[in-house]
Amino acid sequence: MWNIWRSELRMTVRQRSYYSFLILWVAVLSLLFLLQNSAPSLTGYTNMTGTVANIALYIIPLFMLIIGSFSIANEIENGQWRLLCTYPLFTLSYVIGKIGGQFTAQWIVFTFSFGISMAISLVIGGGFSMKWLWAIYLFSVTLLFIFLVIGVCIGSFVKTRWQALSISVMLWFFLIMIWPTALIGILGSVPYTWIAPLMNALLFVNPAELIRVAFVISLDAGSVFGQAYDSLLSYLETSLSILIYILYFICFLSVSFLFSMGMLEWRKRR
Amino acid sequence: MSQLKYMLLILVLVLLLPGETDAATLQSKIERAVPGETIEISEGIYEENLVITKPITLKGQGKVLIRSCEEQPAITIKGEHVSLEQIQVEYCGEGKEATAISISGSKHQLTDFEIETKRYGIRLDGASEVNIQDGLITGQRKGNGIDLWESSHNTIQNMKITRMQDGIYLEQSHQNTLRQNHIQGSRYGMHLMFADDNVLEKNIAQYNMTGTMLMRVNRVQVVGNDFSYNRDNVNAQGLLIYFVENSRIAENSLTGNRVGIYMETSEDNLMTNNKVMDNFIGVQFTKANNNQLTRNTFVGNVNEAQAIESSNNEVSHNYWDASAKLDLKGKGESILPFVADPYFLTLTADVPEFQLFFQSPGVLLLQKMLKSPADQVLTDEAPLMETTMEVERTETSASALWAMSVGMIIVSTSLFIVGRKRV
Amino acid sequence: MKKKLFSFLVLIGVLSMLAACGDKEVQPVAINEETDTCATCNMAVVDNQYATQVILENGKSLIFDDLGCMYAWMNENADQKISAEFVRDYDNKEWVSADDATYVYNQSVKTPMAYNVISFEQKADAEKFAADHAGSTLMTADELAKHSWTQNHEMMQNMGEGHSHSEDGTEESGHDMEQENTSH
Repeated sequence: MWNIWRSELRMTVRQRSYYSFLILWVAVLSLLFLLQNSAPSLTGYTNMTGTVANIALYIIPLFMLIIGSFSIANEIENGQWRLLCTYPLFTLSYVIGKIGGQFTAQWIVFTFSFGISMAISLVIGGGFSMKWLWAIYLFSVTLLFIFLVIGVCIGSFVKTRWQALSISVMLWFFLIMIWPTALIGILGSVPYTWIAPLMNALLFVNPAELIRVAFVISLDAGSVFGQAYDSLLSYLETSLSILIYILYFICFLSVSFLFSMGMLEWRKRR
Repeated sequence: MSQLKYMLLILVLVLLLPGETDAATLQSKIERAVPGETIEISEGIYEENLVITKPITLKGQGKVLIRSCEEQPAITIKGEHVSLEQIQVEYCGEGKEATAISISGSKHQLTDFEIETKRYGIRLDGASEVNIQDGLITGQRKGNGIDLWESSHNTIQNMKITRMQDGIYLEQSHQNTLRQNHIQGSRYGMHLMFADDNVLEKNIAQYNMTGTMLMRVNRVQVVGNDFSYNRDNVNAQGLLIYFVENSRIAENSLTGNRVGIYMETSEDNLMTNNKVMDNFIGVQFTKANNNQLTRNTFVGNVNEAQAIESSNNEVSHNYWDASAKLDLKGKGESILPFVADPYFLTLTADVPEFQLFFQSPGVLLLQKMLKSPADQVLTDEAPLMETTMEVERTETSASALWAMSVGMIIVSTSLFIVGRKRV
Repeated sequence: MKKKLFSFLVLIGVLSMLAACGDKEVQPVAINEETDTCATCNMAVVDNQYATQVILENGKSLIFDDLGCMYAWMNENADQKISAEFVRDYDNKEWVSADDATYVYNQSVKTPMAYNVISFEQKADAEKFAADHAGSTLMTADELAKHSWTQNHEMMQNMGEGHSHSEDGTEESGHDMEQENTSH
């Protein structure tokens, strides 16, 4: 597992596209921080915070889905996967190694860019609130991780990189862009009394939504979601929330590990 | 003989003692006082219920505490020209109407006092020209801090009120002045119902369920107040305006509320020069017509404005920080109108559950695609290029931020180097 | 994704079963004092004898802090399909269907929005209240529909000042509309 982890990390870090990510993040984050500089308020849930969160929601999941699915699809296309199959390697170690290595690599470049962008805007003369920065940072890193995992899941069953790309984009479009539209459409046809429980349940189905809601709650803005979520919020605002998040995280990981493992095993046997 | 002496002694004692204890009570002092007299109360705890009906002044020397758990108020003030100074009241009556101080009559003065109560703090019933100032009221959110019923021409200023149901409640009470009061941790900071021509000036209402509620009032002046951080409750707002006419809301600061100004079924009000900052929703109108919203500054609100079923509102010359601005004529106005789309509000009005999508990227997309008809949107035809007032910034120390930045760079770089190494 | 789809389907199945089981009669919902506000006047609703509610046919429930607010809403939203209206018994705070209740209009009764109408489950209780309190008007649900719903302060303004204090202990509502005018 550690070997896969290390080799994945090394391979990613040495790719040229990796450095283009560095440029992308620095550019995006610096821009956002500069925007934030021009805004009068620095803390809490403001329009700048909303904008930053939404841009993160647009970019990060898409790239992470593509990177995650490519990291496996690539090996399948160039035959490395066939080679690996000849080794006595446990599939779970492969999956975890892949995710771990890829996440470490992406985390490094994101954190580095975050630090650089902060330095840039500090030099220019901006000021931030510590809590706000940490909230943004953790929000982004969580998105990074969750969507990498989903990406690896996609990679585990696609045949080609082209397929990986198209499925990633489709999933991204569904989870991020038309999720509310789809839900509004579907829930419009169910009895009214079902809407509240379904919305609550579906919140946990889409990790992007859950992370966004958790982010808003962490900025003490949970009340904006209104009366219907007061009971949910009262859970998520207490220290119990950590437990819920951890539980969700474990469930999410085990489901996706099982899924990608199963797909890879099935593929091995073919 | 000695027996007789003994009996006489007892008789004298029996006759004197009640007189003596009576003389010790504040009530007896009050009863003996002539109008206009000032009674200086020496330091101590008095477990009494006082009734004051004549024009006298009660002044505490040092820490004077009146304590009562009776159903009747700890202090009842009637008549005219009663003054209370430097007195503390601890009231633990639990009746639904129980109040620490009950006031009727006119021209009373309450200064420099403290009230701790289980229910109401001060109730004014049919009182006028009463002046309440420099006091402190704390409660248990079960009664109103200062409650005015059919009481007009009163002044309440410089009060600190915490943990009450409504900090200051006015009903059918007109032409009162509330100035520089500070209310927090209560349900509603100031709550006016059927109360006309009142003035709310320079008050601070923070961390309440709602800063101020104006309900069914006319000609109220709300000027220079600070309604901020009223956001914890799912129905919170800085200022709620319901069934209000001909009122003026000016120069107020509304920061960090769930909704800055919520207005419903109200007409002919003027909102100007307010600073609406960092609210989740800046202003929200429902069935609000013919109101004027001008020269306000909207900064940092997640959603600046939304309105449904509202028409003929004059919205102009406001500063909206998030809108695109282009000044061609050099008049300090943008030629690009600011438009607030009501789509999300319409959506959530029918199904409040969809509020979970607040500012979700998908909903923003949907809103852009389904442009609402022009007659339904709230439009500022001439938004300002510059804010109408100074907007201050708060910052964390740069050194801590530098540490965070450098720390992130170092950690990631070292991991990067480790990662690049050949195994 | 298949797993998620599956769990989603299971969820729908479970919910539909629950809905099928609970599909008997419309029940009033409990009031949450922290979050429920009156659908008409936006004031926080206290869980007291003045609270009322409307359940729409789609199951949505609307809470009101005063009977008058409920009727104001029904007048404004005549197109909405209502499956049940509930009011509370003045004495024991039990929910009663609005059609079965008996009402008393009395200006000395303080209700949160000063509409001054209260409701009783038993007609006898209402009659007793009306007998004990001068100036009461007894109404059935049908008569209530024709009630004019003047708010007390409007009466006040027409009549000028003139009131006395009430000992009529009621729950602290949005606020006590202590109001007298039995001299009407």
